Amino acid sequence: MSGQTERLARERLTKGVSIGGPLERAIADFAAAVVRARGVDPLISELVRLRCAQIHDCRLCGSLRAREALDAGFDEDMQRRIARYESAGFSPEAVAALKLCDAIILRPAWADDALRGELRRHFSDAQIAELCLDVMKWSQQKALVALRIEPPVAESLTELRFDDAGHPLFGGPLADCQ
Amino acid sequence: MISEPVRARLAALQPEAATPLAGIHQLASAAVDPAILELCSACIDAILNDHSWVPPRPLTAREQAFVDFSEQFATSVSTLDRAQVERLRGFASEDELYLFVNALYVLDMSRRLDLVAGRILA
Repeated sequence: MSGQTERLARERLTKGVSIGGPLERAIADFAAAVVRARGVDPLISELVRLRCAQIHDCRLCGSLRAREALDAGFDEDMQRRIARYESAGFSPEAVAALKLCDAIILRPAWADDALRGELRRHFSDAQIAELCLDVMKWSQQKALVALRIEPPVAESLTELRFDDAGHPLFGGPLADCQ
Repeated sequence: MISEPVRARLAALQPEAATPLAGIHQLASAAVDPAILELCSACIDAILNDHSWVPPRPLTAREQAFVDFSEQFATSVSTLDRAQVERLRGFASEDELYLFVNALYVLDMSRRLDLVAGRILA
Protein backbone atom coordinates (compact mmCIF):
# COMPACT_ATOMS: atom_id res chain seq x y z
CA MET A 1 0.00 0.00 0.00
CA SER A 2 2.71 2.45 -0.92
CA GLY A 3 1.67 5.95 -1.87
CA GLN A 4 -0.65 6.36 1.12
CA THR A 5 -0.90 9.95 2.24
CA GLU A 6 -1.59 11.25 5.72
CA ARG A 7 -5.25 11.60 6.66
CA LEU A 8 -4.63 13.97 9.52
CA ALA A 9 -2.73 17.23 9.61
CA ARG A 10 -0.27 16.46 12.39
CA GLU A 11 0.86 20.07 12.54
CA ARG A 12 -2.66 20.97 13.67
CA LEU A 13 -2.54 18.63 16.67
CA THR A 14 -2.11 20.29 20.04
CA LYS A 15 1.12 19.23 21.72
CA GLY A 16 0.53 17.92 25.22
CA VAL A 17 -3.17 17.36 24.54
CA SER A 18 -3.37 14.81 21.74
CA ILE A 19 0.14 14.39 20.36
CA GLY A 20 2.48 13.94 23.29
CA GLY A 21 -0.52 14.08 25.59
CA PRO A 22 -1.25 11.86 28.61
CA LEU A 23 -2.73 8.97 26.60
CA GLU A 24 0.07 8.90 24.04
CA ARG A 25 2.70 9.08 26.78
CA ALA A 26 1.00 6.26 28.68
CA ILE A 27 0.89 4.11 25.55
CA ALA A 28 4.61 4.78 25.07
CA ASP A 29 5.28 3.79 28.69
CA PHE A 30 3.34 0.58 28.19
CA ALA A 31 5.25 -0.17 24.98
CA ALA A 32 8.58 0.43 26.69
CA ALA A 33 7.66 -1.88 29.58
CA VAL A 34 6.70 -4.62 27.13
CA VAL A 35 9.92 -4.23 25.17
CA ARG A 36 11.99 -4.54 28.36
CA ALA A 37 10.69 -8.09 28.88
CA ARG A 38 13.32 -10.37 27.38
CA GLY A 39 11.98 -13.85 28.06
CA VAL A 40 11.29 -14.78 24.44
CA ASP A 41 13.86 -15.61 21.73
CA PRO A 42 14.45 -12.33 19.84
CA LEU A 43 14.07 -14.11 16.52
CA ILE A 44 10.55 -15.25 17.47
CA SER A 45 9.72 -11.77 18.79
CA GLU A 46 10.79 -10.34 15.43
CA LEU A 47 8.63 -12.78 13.48
CA VAL A 48 5.66 -11.78 15.64
CA ARG A 49 6.43 -8.06 15.22
CA LEU A 50 6.61 -8.43 11.44
CA ARG A 51 3.43 -10.52 11.35
CA CYS A 52 1.64 -7.65 13.11
CA ALA A 53 3.12 -5.23 10.58
CA GLN A 54 1.96 -7.43 7.72
CA ILE A 55 -1.63 -7.86 8.92
CA HIS A 56 -2.04 -4.19 9.84
CA ASP A 57 -0.16 -3.04 6.71
CA CYS A 58 2.13 -0.82 8.77
CA ARG A 59 4.75 0.69 6.49
CA LEU A 60 6.89 1.89 9.39
CA CYS A 61 7.12 -1.43 11.25
CA GLY A 62 7.54 -3.33 7.99
CA SER A 63 10.55 -1.19 7.15
CA LEU A 64 12.36 -1.93 10.41
CA ARG A 65 14.51 -4.87 11.43
CA ALA A 66 15.38 -5.49 15.07
CA ARG A 67 19.12 -5.56 15.65
CA GLU A 68 18.78 -8.34 18.24
CA ALA A 69 16.96 -10.52 15.73
CA LEU A 70 19.52 -9.85 13.01
CA ASP A 71 22.24 -10.88 15.44
CA ALA A 72 20.25 -14.05 16.17
CA GLY A 73 20.15 -14.97 12.49
CA PHE A 74 17.06 -13.23 11.11
CA ASP A 75 17.22 -12.66 7.35
CA GLU A 76 14.92 -11.44 4.59
CA ASP A 77 14.10 -14.95 3.47
CA MET A 78 12.39 -15.40 6.84
CA GLN A 79 10.47 -12.18 6.35
CA ARG A 80 9.20 -13.40 3.00
CA ARG A 81 8.01 -16.67 4.55
CA ILE A 82 5.97 -15.13 7.37
CA ALA A 83 2.79 -14.83 5.28
CA ARG A 84 2.69 -18.62 4.86
CA TYR A 85 4.31 -19.43 8.16
CA GLU A 86 2.50 -22.69 8.85
CA SER A 87 4.17 -24.41 5.91
CA ALA A 88 7.31 -22.30 5.59
CA GLY A 89 9.80 -24.34 7.57
CA PHE A 90 9.85 -22.29 10.77
CA SER A 91 10.46 -24.01 14.10
CA PRO A 92 7.41 -25.36 15.96
CA GLU A 93 7.96 -22.64 18.58
CA ALA A 94 7.82 -19.91 15.96
CA VAL A 95 4.70 -21.37 14.36
CA ALA A 96 2.95 -21.56 17.73
CA ALA A 97 3.88 -17.95 18.51
CA LEU A 98 2.61 -16.78 15.11
CA LYS A 99 -0.65 -18.67 15.60
CA LEU A 100 -1.09 -16.88 18.91
CA CYS A 101 -0.44 -13.59 17.13
CA ASP A 102 -3.08 -14.38 14.51
CA ALA A 103 -5.61 -15.39 17.16
CA ILE A 104 -5.21 -12.03 18.85
CA ILE A 105 -5.18 -9.79 15.81
CA LEU A 106 -7.41 -11.73 13.43
CA ARG A 107 -9.85 -13.96 15.29
CA PRO A 108 -9.84 -14.57 19.06
CA ALA A 109 -11.96 -17.72 18.56
CA TRP A 110 -8.81 -19.39 17.21
CA ALA A 111 -7.48 -19.41 20.79
CA ASP A 112 -8.71 -22.90 21.53
CA ASP A 113 -7.48 -25.90 23.51
CA ALA A 114 -5.30 -27.04 20.61
CA LEU A 115 -3.45 -23.73 20.46
CA ARG A 116 -3.20 -23.66 24.24
CA GLY A 117 -1.56 -27.09 24.22
CA GLU A 118 0.75 -26.15 21.36
CA LEU A 119 1.92 -23.01 23.10
CA ARG A 120 2.46 -24.76 26.41
CA ARG A 121 4.65 -27.38 24.75
CA HIS A 122 7.10 -24.66 23.77
CA PHE A 123 6.68 -21.74 26.16
CA SER A 124 6.25 -21.06 29.86
CA ASP A 125 3.19 -19.11 30.98
CA ALA A 126 5.38 -16.03 31.50
CA GLN A 127 6.65 -16.31 27.91
CA ILE A 128 3.09 -16.70 26.59
CA ALA A 129 2.04 -13.61 28.54
CA GLU A 130 5.05 -11.77 27.09
CA LEU A 131 4.04 -12.79 23.58
CA CYS A 132 0.45 -11.66 24.18
CA LEU A 133 1.66 -8.26 25.36
CA ASP A 134 4.10 -8.08 22.43
CA VAL A 135 1.18 -8.46 20.04
CA MET A 136 -0.73 -5.72 21.83
CA LYS A 137 2.31 -3.45 21.75
CA TRP A 138 3.03 -4.13 18.06
CA SER A 139 -0.59 -3.40 17.21
CA GLN A 140 -0.21 0.16 18.46
CA GLN A 141 0.37 0.84 14.80
CA LYS A 142 -3.34 0.31 14.14
CA ALA A 143 -3.91 3.88 15.27
CA LEU A 144 -1.14 5.12 12.99
CA VAL A 145 -2.33 3.07 10.03
CA ALA A 146 -5.93 4.28 10.41
CA LEU A 147 -4.65 7.82 9.95
CA ARG A 148 -1.82 6.79 7.62
CA ILE A 149 0.77 8.56 9.70
CA GLU A 150 3.21 5.63 9.68
CA PRO A 151 5.66 6.41 6.87
CA PRO A 152 8.91 4.41 6.88
CA VAL A 153 11.92 6.05 8.48
CA ALA A 154 13.82 5.72 5.20
CA GLU A 155 13.39 4.18 1.76
CA SER A 156 15.64 1.28 2.70
CA LEU A 157 15.27 -1.13 5.61
CA THR A 158 16.28 0.49 8.87
CA GLU A 159 17.83 -0.95 11.99
CA LEU A 160 15.64 -0.95 15.12
CA ARG A 161 17.20 -1.03 18.57
CA PHE A 162 15.94 -0.15 22.02
CA ASP A 163 17.65 1.70 24.82
CA ASP A 164 17.73 0.29 28.35
CA ALA A 165 14.40 1.99 29.13
CA GLY A 166 12.75 0.27 26.16
CA HIS A 167 12.49 3.32 23.92
CA PRO A 168 13.05 2.77 20.19
CA LEU A 169 16.20 3.95 18.45
CA PHE A 170 16.38 3.98 14.68
CA GLY A 171 19.78 3.15 13.24
CA GLY A 172 21.15 3.21 9.77
CA PRO A 173 20.10 1.54 6.52
CA LEU A 174 20.31 -2.23 6.34
CA ALA A 175 20.76 -2.92 2.64
CA ASP A 176 23.15 -5.76 3.45
CA CYS A 177 20.50 -7.96 5.10
CA GLN A 178 18.34 -8.31 1.98
CA MET B 1 -11.50 -3.44 29.13
CA ILE B 2 -9.57 -6.41 30.53
CA SER B 3 -11.45 -8.64 32.95
CA GLU B 4 -10.11 -8.85 36.47
CA PRO B 5 -8.99 -12.52 36.31
CA VAL B 6 -6.99 -11.90 33.12
CA ARG B 7 -5.57 -8.64 34.45
CA ALA B 8 -4.42 -10.42 37.62
CA ARG B 9 -2.93 -13.32 35.65
CA LEU B 10 -0.99 -11.00 33.35
CA ALA B 11 0.17 -8.95 36.33
CA ALA B 12 1.48 -12.10 38.02
CA LEU B 13 3.31 -13.24 34.89
CA GLN B 14 4.51 -9.86 33.57
CA PRO B 15 4.41 -7.49 36.55
CA GLU B 16 6.43 -4.73 34.94
CA ALA B 17 3.84 -4.18 32.21
CA ALA B 18 0.82 -4.41 34.52
CA THR B 19 0.87 -0.87 35.87
CA PRO B 20 1.31 0.88 32.50
CA LEU B 21 -1.37 -1.39 31.04
CA ALA B 22 -3.82 -0.24 33.72
CA GLY B 23 -2.74 3.33 33.04
CA ILE B 24 -3.59 3.24 29.36
CA HIS B 25 -7.03 1.84 30.13
CA GLN B 26 -7.83 4.69 32.50
CA LEU B 27 -6.60 7.35 30.11
CA ALA B 28 -8.27 5.82 27.06
CA SER B 29 -11.60 5.76 28.87
CA ALA B 30 -11.16 9.38 29.92
CA ALA B 31 -10.18 10.53 26.42
CA VAL B 32 -13.45 9.71 24.67
CA ASP B 33 -17.10 10.67 25.14
CA PRO B 34 -18.42 7.86 27.41
CA ALA B 35 -21.57 7.35 25.34
CA ILE B 36 -19.51 6.95 22.16
CA LEU B 37 -17.07 4.66 23.95
CA GLU B 38 -19.90 2.44 25.17
CA LEU B 39 -21.37 2.07 21.70
CA CYS B 40 -17.99 1.39 20.10
CA SER B 41 -17.14 -1.14 22.82
CA ALA B 42 -20.37 -3.02 22.24
CA CYS B 43 -19.79 -3.07 18.50
CA ILE B 44 -16.21 -4.35 18.88
CA ASP B 45 -17.23 -6.96 21.45
CA ALA B 46 -19.78 -8.33 19.02
CA ILE B 47 -17.22 -8.54 16.22
CA LEU B 48 -14.63 -10.27 18.39
CA ASN B 49 -17.17 -12.74 19.75
CA ASP B 50 -18.69 -13.51 16.34
CA HIS B 51 -22.07 -12.10 17.33
CA SER B 52 -24.31 -9.73 15.46
CA TRP B 53 -24.97 -6.40 17.15
CA VAL B 54 -27.91 -4.06 16.98
CA PRO B 55 -27.57 -0.63 18.60
CA PRO B 56 -29.77 -0.21 21.66
CA ARG B 57 -31.55 2.76 20.04
CA PRO B 58 -31.48 4.69 16.79
CA LEU B 59 -28.07 6.33 16.50
CA THR B 60 -27.38 9.91 15.62
CA ALA B 61 -25.27 10.60 12.54
CA ARG B 62 -22.33 11.35 14.84
CA GLU B 63 -22.73 8.12 16.79
CA GLN B 64 -23.13 6.11 13.59
CA ALA B 65 -19.93 7.58 12.15
CA PHE B 66 -17.94 6.59 15.24
CA VAL B 67 -19.47 3.11 15.34
CA ASP B 68 -18.83 2.49 11.64
CA PHE B 69 -15.23 3.64 12.03
CA SER B 70 -14.79 1.33 15.03
CA GLU B 71 -16.23 -1.61 13.13
CA GLN B 72 -13.81 -1.11 10.26
CA PHE B 73 -10.90 -0.50 12.65
CA ALA B 74 -11.58 -3.77 14.45
CA THR B 75 -12.27 -5.78 11.31
CA SER B 76 -9.40 -4.62 9.10
CA VAL B 77 -7.56 -1.39 9.74
CA SER B 78 -5.51 -1.85 6.59
CA THR B 79 -8.60 -1.37 4.43
CA LEU B 80 -9.98 1.59 6.35
CA ASP B 81 -10.13 4.40 3.84
CA ARG B 82 -9.77 8.16 3.76
CA ALA B 83 -13.53 8.69 3.41
CA GLN B 84 -14.16 7.06 6.78
CA VAL B 85 -11.65 9.38 8.41
CA GLU B 86 -13.17 12.37 6.63
CA ARG B 87 -16.62 11.36 7.86
CA LEU B 88 -15.37 11.44 11.45
CA ARG B 89 -13.71 14.78 10.82
CA GLY B 90 -17.21 16.14 10.31
CA PHE B 91 -17.87 15.48 13.97
CA ALA B 92 -14.46 15.78 15.63
CA SER B 93 -11.48 18.10 15.65
CA GLU B 94 -8.00 16.80 14.77
CA ASP B 95 -7.20 16.48 18.46
CA GLU B 96 -10.43 14.60 19.19
CA LEU B 97 -9.88 12.30 16.24
CA TYR B 98 -6.30 11.54 17.25
CA LEU B 99 -7.35 10.79 20.83
CA PHE B 100 -10.26 8.66 19.66
CA VAL B 101 -8.11 6.52 17.37
CA ASN B 102 -5.54 5.96 20.12
CA ALA B 103 -8.30 5.09 22.60
CA LEU B 104 -9.79 2.74 20.02
CA TYR B 105 -6.45 0.93 19.77
CA VAL B 106 -6.47 0.43 23.54
CA LEU B 107 -10.09 -0.70 23.56
CA ASP B 108 -9.84 -3.05 20.59
CA MET B 109 -6.54 -4.70 21.52
CA SER B 110 -7.44 -4.98 25.21
CA ARG B 111 -10.57 -6.90 24.37
CA ARG B 112 -8.57 -9.17 22.08
CA LEU B 113 -5.94 -9.67 24.76
CA ASP B 114 -8.65 -10.43 27.30
CA LEU B 115 -10.32 -13.05 25.10
CA VAL B 116 -7.14 -14.82 24.02
CA ALA B 117 -5.09 -14.62 27.23
CA GLY B 118 -8.22 -15.64 29.15
CA ARG B 119 -8.36 -18.87 27.16
CA ILE B 120 -4.67 -19.61 26.77
CA LEU B 121 -3.46 -18.70 30.26
CA ALA B 122 -6.52 -19.90 32.23
